[in-house]
Amino acid sequence: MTKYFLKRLISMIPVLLGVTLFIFLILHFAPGDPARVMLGEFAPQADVDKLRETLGLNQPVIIQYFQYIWGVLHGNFGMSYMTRAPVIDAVLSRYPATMILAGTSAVVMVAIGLPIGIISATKQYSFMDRATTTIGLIGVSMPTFWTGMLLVMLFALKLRFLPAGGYKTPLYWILPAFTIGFNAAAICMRMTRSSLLEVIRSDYIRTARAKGQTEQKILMHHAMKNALVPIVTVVGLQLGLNLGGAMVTEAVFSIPGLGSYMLSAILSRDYPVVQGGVILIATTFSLVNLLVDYIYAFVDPRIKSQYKAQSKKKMRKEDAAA
Amino acid sequence: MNTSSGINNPSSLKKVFKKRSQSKEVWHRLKRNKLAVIGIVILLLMTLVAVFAGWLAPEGYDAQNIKIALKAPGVLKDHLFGTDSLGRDLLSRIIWGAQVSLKVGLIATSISAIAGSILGAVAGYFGGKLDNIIMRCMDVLLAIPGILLAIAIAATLGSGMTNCIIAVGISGIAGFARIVRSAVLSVRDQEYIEAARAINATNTRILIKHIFPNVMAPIIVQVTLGFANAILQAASLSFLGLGAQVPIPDWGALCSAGRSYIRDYSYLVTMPGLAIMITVFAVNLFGDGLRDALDPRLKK
Repeated sequence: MTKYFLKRLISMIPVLLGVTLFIFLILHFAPGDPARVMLGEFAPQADVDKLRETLGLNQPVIIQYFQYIWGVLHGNFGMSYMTRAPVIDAVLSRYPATMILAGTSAVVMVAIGLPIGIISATKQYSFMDRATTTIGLIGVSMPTFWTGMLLVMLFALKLRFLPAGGYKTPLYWILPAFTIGFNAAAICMRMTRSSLLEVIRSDYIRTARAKGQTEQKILMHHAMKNALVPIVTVVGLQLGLNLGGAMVTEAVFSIPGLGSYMLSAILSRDYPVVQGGVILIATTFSLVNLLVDYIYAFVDPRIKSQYKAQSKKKMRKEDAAA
Repeated sequence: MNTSSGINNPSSLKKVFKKRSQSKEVWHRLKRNKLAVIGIVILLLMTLVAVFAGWLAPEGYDAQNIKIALKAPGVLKDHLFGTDSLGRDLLSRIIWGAQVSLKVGLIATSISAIAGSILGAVAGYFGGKLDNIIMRCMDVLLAIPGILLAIAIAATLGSGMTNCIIAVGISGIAGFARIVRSAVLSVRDQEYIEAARAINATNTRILIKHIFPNVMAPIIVQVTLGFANAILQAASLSFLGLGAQVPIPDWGALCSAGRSYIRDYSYLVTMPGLAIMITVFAVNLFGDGLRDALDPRLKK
C-alpha cells in the first residue's frame, strides 16, 4: 500500500510539471510586456529594456521556463510585478483563508448531502425523495455567486443574523461555506442516492434482511460500506473543485484569500502571482485526489487486498526470475 | 376469432413486430420521463426567446432612460421586471441575455465536444505512445479546477465574449476526451471493427463510420452536462469581469452590475440569477432524462 502511495506521489510530478509548463506558456504569450507593467505606461524605453534584461525576459522562452522551474524547486516563485514582493510569501499568506473556506464548505457539503442522499435512497419514489432530488437538481443549477448573494440578502441584510462579508471570526465563514457547500451538497446528495440505490438492491442486502437484521444496521454495516467508494470519490473531487469555487465566493464575500488575490493579479496582469497561485492550487488539488485514493483502501478492504495481491505477485515473479 | 383475424392480418403483424430504430426508442423512453419533458419544454422556450429576442424584448438592451432609473418591478406598467441604474428595462436585458448565454454555452460546448472527442477517440483507438501523450496532456488540464483554468485562459486572452467562449471551451476539453477515450476503448476490439479492418477500411473511416456512431451515447450525455456547466462558467467569468463587457447583457454580468444595489434593489440580482438557474435546471433535467433513456440497463 505504501509502495502504491509512493508510486502515485511520484506520478504526480510530471503532471505538476505539465501544469507549470502550461500555465507558464499561456501567460508568456499573453499580450503586454511585464517590464512595461512594472514600470508604468510612461516609463522611458531604456529603463524598460534594462528591466527586461534584469528579469531575464530577453532570453528564449525555454530558458526562462527552466529558470522559473529551478526557482520554484527552491521555493522561489518570482516577484510580484505590482508589489515587488516575493510571490511565495504573498501567496502562502493568503492560502490558509482559501483552505479554510474549501474545508468548511466540504464539511457543509457532507453534513447536508450525505444524510439527505441516504434518506432519499432509502425512501425511493416517496414525496421526500422527489422533493430532495428536485432541490438537489436546483442546487446544482445555481451559480455559486448567485447563491452567495441570495444568502447575503436573506441572512445579512434582511434577518441581520450574519455578517455580509469579511474575514475576522468563524462567524464570517458561515455564509461563504454554505455558498460553496450548498452547491457541492447537491452533487454529494445525488451521488449518495444513486450509489446507495445500486447497492440496496443487491443479494447480500436481501440476505441480511432475511437474517432479521435491523434496517439501520443493514444500512450502516452493509449498504453504506459498499456505497462509500463513489461517494468518497465525489467528496474528494468536490473538495478540490471547492478551491476553484473559492475564487468566485471570495470575490462575493470580500475574503482576502488566494482566489481574490489571484483575481486582482489577473486584472492587473501580475502574471507571476497568477502562476504561483495556479501551481499551488493544482498541487493541492492533486494531493487531495491522492488522499482520496489512499482513503479508498480504508473504505473498501477489497482495494487494499488488491494492492497487496499485486505486490505479492510481483515478489513471486522476482523470486521466480532469481 | 378476433385473435386469428389479427394474426392473419399482415398489417397488424407488422405493427406488432415493427422494430423501432435506436433513436426512436430513446425518444420514446425520453417522452415517458415527465421531468425530462419539462426540461425540453423550458429549453425550447428559452431557445425561442433567444432567437426571437429582437421581437420579444420590449426595448433594446442598451436603451437608456435615466428618468426612470431603479424602478422596482410592478411600479411602471411598461417595465415588468423593473429598470436598472441607467433606466434600462431589465426584462429586455434578460431576454437579450438569453441570446448571449445560450450562444456562449452552445459554442463553448461545441469546442469542448469536437476537440475532446477527436483527442479522446484518437487516444483510445490508436493507444500506445499517442494515447499516453494525449492523456497526460489531459491530466494536466484536469489537475487545474475547471473555473480556475477558464479564468487563467480568459486572463491570457483578455476579457470579452469571444475569449470567454474560448476559455470555457478549452476548460471542458479534458472531460470530453476522458469519456470518449474510455467509450472507444470499450468498442475498438469488437468484431465489427475487426471486420472493417479486414476489408481494408482506413483508420479515419473506421473512426468516423464505425466507432463514433457507437460511442455517441456518452458523448450526447456529456454534451448536455457540459452545456449546463458552460453556461455557469461563462456567467461566473462575466460576474468576475472577465466575460461579456458592458453594455452586452450577459446574465452573469447583469448580476455583477446589480450587486452594488443589492441592499435596496435586490431584483437586479435575483431576476438575472433566476434566468441562469431556470435554464441550467432545464438543461440538467433534459440531461438526466437523456442519460436514463440512453442507459441500456434501464430499458425495461
